[in-house]
Parts: sequence; structure tokens; C-alpha cells
Amino acid sequence: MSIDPGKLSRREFLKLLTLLPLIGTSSKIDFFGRTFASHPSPNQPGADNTRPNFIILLFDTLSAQHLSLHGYSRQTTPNLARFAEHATVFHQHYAAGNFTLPGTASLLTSAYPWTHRGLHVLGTVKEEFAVKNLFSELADDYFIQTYTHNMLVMSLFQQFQKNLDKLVLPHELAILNEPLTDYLFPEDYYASFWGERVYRGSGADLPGSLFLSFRPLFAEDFHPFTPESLTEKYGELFPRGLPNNSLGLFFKLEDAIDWIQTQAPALPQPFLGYYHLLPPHEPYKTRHDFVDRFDDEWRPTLKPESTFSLGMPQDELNRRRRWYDEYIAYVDAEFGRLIDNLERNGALKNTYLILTSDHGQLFERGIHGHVTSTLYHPLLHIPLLISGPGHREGVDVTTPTSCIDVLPTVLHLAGKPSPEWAQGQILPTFGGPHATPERSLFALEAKNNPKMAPLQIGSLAMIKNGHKIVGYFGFGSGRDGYELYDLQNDPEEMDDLYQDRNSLAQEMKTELDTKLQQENRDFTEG
Amino acid sequence: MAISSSRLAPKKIYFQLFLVCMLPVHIWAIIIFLRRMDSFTIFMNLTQIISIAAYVLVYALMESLFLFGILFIGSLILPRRVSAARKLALGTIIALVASAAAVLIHFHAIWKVNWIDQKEWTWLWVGVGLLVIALISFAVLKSERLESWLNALVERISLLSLVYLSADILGLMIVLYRQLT
Repeated sequence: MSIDPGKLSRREFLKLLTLLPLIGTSSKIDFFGRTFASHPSPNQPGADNTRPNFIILLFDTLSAQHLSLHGYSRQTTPNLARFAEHATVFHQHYAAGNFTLPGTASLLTSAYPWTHRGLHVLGTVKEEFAVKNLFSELADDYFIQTYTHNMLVMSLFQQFQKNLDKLVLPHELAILNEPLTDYLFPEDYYASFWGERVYRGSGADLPGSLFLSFRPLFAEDFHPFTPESLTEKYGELFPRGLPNNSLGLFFKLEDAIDWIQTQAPALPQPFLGYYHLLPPHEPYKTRHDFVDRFDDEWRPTLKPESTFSLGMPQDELNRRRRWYDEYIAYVDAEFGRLIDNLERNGALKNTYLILTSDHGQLFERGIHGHVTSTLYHPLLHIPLLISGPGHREGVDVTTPTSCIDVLPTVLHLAGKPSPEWAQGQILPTFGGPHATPERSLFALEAKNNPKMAPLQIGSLAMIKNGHKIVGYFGFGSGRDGYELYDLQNDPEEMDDLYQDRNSLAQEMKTELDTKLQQENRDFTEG
Repeated sequence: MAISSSRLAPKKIYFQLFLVCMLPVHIWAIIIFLRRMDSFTIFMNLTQIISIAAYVLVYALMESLFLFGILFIGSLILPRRVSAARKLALGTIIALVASAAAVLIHFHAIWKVNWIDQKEWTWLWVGVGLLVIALISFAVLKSERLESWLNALVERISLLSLVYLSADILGLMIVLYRQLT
């Protein structure tokens, strides 16, 4: 067939179209059109085995305060403890926000929320961070693969996707995914997700669809793949229902874990795998062997009611805490299975495995969950464990560190300098300075503040010298004010020292206020 | 084929019926979208908001087609002696009454009526809607005056729905553009 490009007939054009799949296979264009960089596989000539691989395993909403590894009363994490025997454990590691977007965005951009502006539950970060993040910094040399069960994290992945070699979509590791976005508009995830959410309705929001949104009402009667039928099918394995993201994605953690362990040895080298798995985020759907594991007499310390209390009775908080702890035990068991298999198949020989979370969870002071304006310890204290090639012994780091330190550390281990925009520093024991308690770490909650405006409503926490001060601003009288806690002597944050320790309180308040004013000034001028 | 084609009404009638179907579906979708606008403006830029509106309009267009499809199939099973104008009047009343029943079902979530659960409430309004449709359909079949009044209403609705149709086409173009870029 000879074709003159200058005189391409319609018939010839159609013939050429049939060759498109060949182009797809030869230039590594995946089904959704995202291009793969041409990285060699581990044993192929040209594979760069001098640079280490990274697996960042993030379990959503995993509060360090609930891990037996960190001294929690219930034995929630025996496998983490086993992993810690040859890993570096950061005992005072903190999230930069109290829910997914600010926490995850700070981890991936090494910027505090006031800088990246991922302040809202279903928001995004400033456009400039599309090329200022962990993936963009490693993209030239690394094969980068990501996966999440969390639709909110998908918004970030979409922003960063130009530097992702493989963005695995949520439904690919799910048993059922009801939203159409995943299937129909994966390249335009954010807008299509919101469009569908408006149309289908969610929670207390009425659906934009007059007729088609009745499906949930009739689900039991008409829909063959309802949660009810899933509960029937998986009822024995998951007596409390199948794990899900409350937005129609139903999954088994086992499937994600099995998939990760098959990916690690097979991915082109060097690689970064960022896996943001939803458990133990609510709803707490633990596996049958963990149900009622902590149906014990133990009760947590009763704490003073918060001015942001949602009025949840303590008994109900205790019940939810127990379910959460039982969900953590399931996560821990699956994590144990993963590390055993990765070690068995040799995938960790040249790989750093980083386990962390984006934020914690609260079961106290009348508050359940993390959609709150408070910044109490269980919300901010998250795990960080890192094992690397040749790590034989466990190392405990007790100086405070932040999630913004992960990016500089990974870059350092990959042989790359920290970009000047990174606000974090290389973690202690990984080449960074010996972090001192004098370093000020911050966390921000500002979901009611407009994205692109100075911070005028929210909560800002600062941790320094073993103390934590939290400032609440813009909420009105009765809620605005400060709290100060001595984290070393009062880790449960029982006694608010703000009124008592005047000099320390004033010193920390001044620094906190100055920081807020400075960031607002920088934002306005910038 | 001869039987079914003889039951078909002129294309203009079906187009008008489609425009009637668009009206309640779009009004509802736009109201719900506007209710969410307040929260969107806190963290979205104008491009994002317009894009979301485009998706909502495309979904509304699909739903209008769905509703129209049901009425179209229904029109095929009506006796041949029912005139095209009467089919249009019947289709109009079914679309509007069904939409009103659907709105009432949705509002149950806001009204928080506790004496009846959501599923029973839904069936209640489905039943009331069907009853009203049956009664008015019977009236339309018997009353030429009602039929002509409904057809006059269709003329007015069609004009308004053309605006929605234009917006849908624009929304569809935005959605397609976003897939390509």
C-alpha cells in the first residue's frame, strides 16, 4: 500500500487508523493514553541498580496514638513492631494537617498547607505544585507508579500526572466501583468526579438527577451489585461489611497488598511506588478474624469536652475506637504479609520501604473522626517507619519530625539535592542534621478559609521543645483562643497550660501569631 | 416494520416531547448545582466550576434522553387511533407529573418526615404519581380542550428548553475538549 501523504483519501485515512494500536504498543501508550517513560526492567541491560527503589506505603488515617508500637494499650500492631526491628522508627512524627488533602499534599510537596493551599476536603493544590512535588523531582530517573483507594487523593494524582509513568485507577483493584468517572473520564478526574457527585448526590446533598438517582433507594430490589449483595457474598469474611470508601468503591485490602507485592519485583528500575491505601479510614470494616478482638474492659482516659465537640457520647466513641483498633489490627496483619512476601521475593534488596499516614483520628472530647477544627495529638501524631537496603537493626528517633521531611529525605537517598522550595529537611539518621527539639513544626486546619485568600479562619498548631500550642482563629468568641500542652509529661493533652505557664505561653503564642502573619503577608505579596 | 412506522408520530412531535423532557430534568439539575456553588467558590477556580457545570449538563442531557426514550417506547404501544397531538399531550403530562413526584421523593430527605421511612415514602409518591398520570391521561383522551391546552403549554416549554439544549451542547463540547486536552 503506497500512500501519498499529500493526497490522503478518506479510505486511506481509515486504513491508517487501524494501525494505531501498533503505535500504542511500540511507544508504550497505555489504555488511557498516558505515556510510559522507557525505563528498563530490573534485569534488562541498562537497568540502573545503583539508585535505590522506593515504596511509600501510606495507610490513610493511621494514628500513631493507636499503635502498640508507640505504646498503645491494645496490641494493634505486632507486625509493625516486627518490621521496626530492622527499620528506623520516628516516634514523634507529625502530619501537617488533620485530614487527607493537606496531610498528603504536604508529604508530596514538602510544603506546609498555607503554601500549597490544599486546604479543603475535596480541593486541589496550587497549580505551581504540579511541577513541584516528589514525583516531578524523580521523574527524570525513576519509574513512578501510584495507586489509591481514596478519590480525594486522585485529585492530587491528576494534578501531578504529567510526572507519573503509571497511574493505576481506583477501580482496578476494587471489587465494585460505582462512580463512572473512573471508567469514562479518567483523564479529567477532578471535574468529572465533582460533576458526577453533584449529579448523584452524596450524604445530605440532594442529587442533581431527578430519576436516575433513585437507584440507592431501590438498590436492594433492583441492583444486582449492591452493598447488600456484597455483604452477602463477603459476609463471612467481613461480618461488618466490605471495606469501602463511602463513595461507592468496595475493595479488599488483600487485593491491593497482593498487587503491590507482584509489582515491586517487576517494575522498571529504579522505581518509586506510592500506594495510598484507605484502611483504617472509616467505615471500620475489619476482617472476621479481628472482629471483637479488643472487646475488652480497657477504657481510654476520659478527656475534657472540646469547644468543638460534636456531642458524641463517650460510650459511642469507645465503641468506634474499638472498631477502629480492630481495623488497624487487620491493616497490620496485611502489612506483615506484605513485608514477608517482599523479603521472600527479594524485592527489598535495593528498596526503601516507607510506611506512614496522612493524618490520625479522634475518639475523644465528644468528637469522632478527623473532620474537625481541632488539632489534638491523635490527629497529628502519625507513624513513620523506614527500612532500607542493609538495615539490620532498628533505630529509634525521638526528635520531632514532620511529613514535609519525607520528600527531601527520599531525594537525598536517590542522590538528588533538595529543591529550594522544599520546606522540610532530610530526616535524622538519613543524612540530615540532628534535628533538635527547638525546631518548630506546624499543622494547619483551614477548610473554611477560601483557598486563595489570607488565612482568617482555622486552627494552627506549633510543636516545639516538647510543647504544643494551638491557636484557633476566626471561629468567633467562645472558640477563638489558644491551648498549650506539655507533650512530654502530658501526652494525653489533659491539662491546658495556656493560662498557667504565662512566659512559655506568651513566647509560643508570639511565635505562632508571627508565623501566621508572616505567611499571610507572603501570600498577599506573592 | 410497517406496523411500528405507522405508529410513529412526525419527527417534530418527538423533538417537542424531548424538549418537554429536558425542562424538569434541567431545572432540577441546575437548582442542585447552584445550591453547591457556595461551597465550590471557596476552593475552586472559575474554570473548574464551569467544567463541573458542563458535566452536570451532559448528565442532564443523558437523563432527558432516558426519559424521552421511555415515553417514545410508550408512544409506540398506544393505539393507532391516538393522534400525534394527543400523544404529545399525554407524553407531556406524564413527564411533568413524574417529575413532580420525583421532586417530592427527593425532598423527603430535607423535610425529614419521620412517620414513614424513605422506601415507603418513595413508593407512596410513585403510586400517587401513577394515579395522577392515569387520571389526567384519561382526561386528555376524553377532553380536546385539555389536549389543546397542553399542546399550547408544550409550545412555551419548547422555547425555554431550547436554551437548555444549547447549554447542553456547549457543555458537551467542553467535556469533549477536556478529554482531548
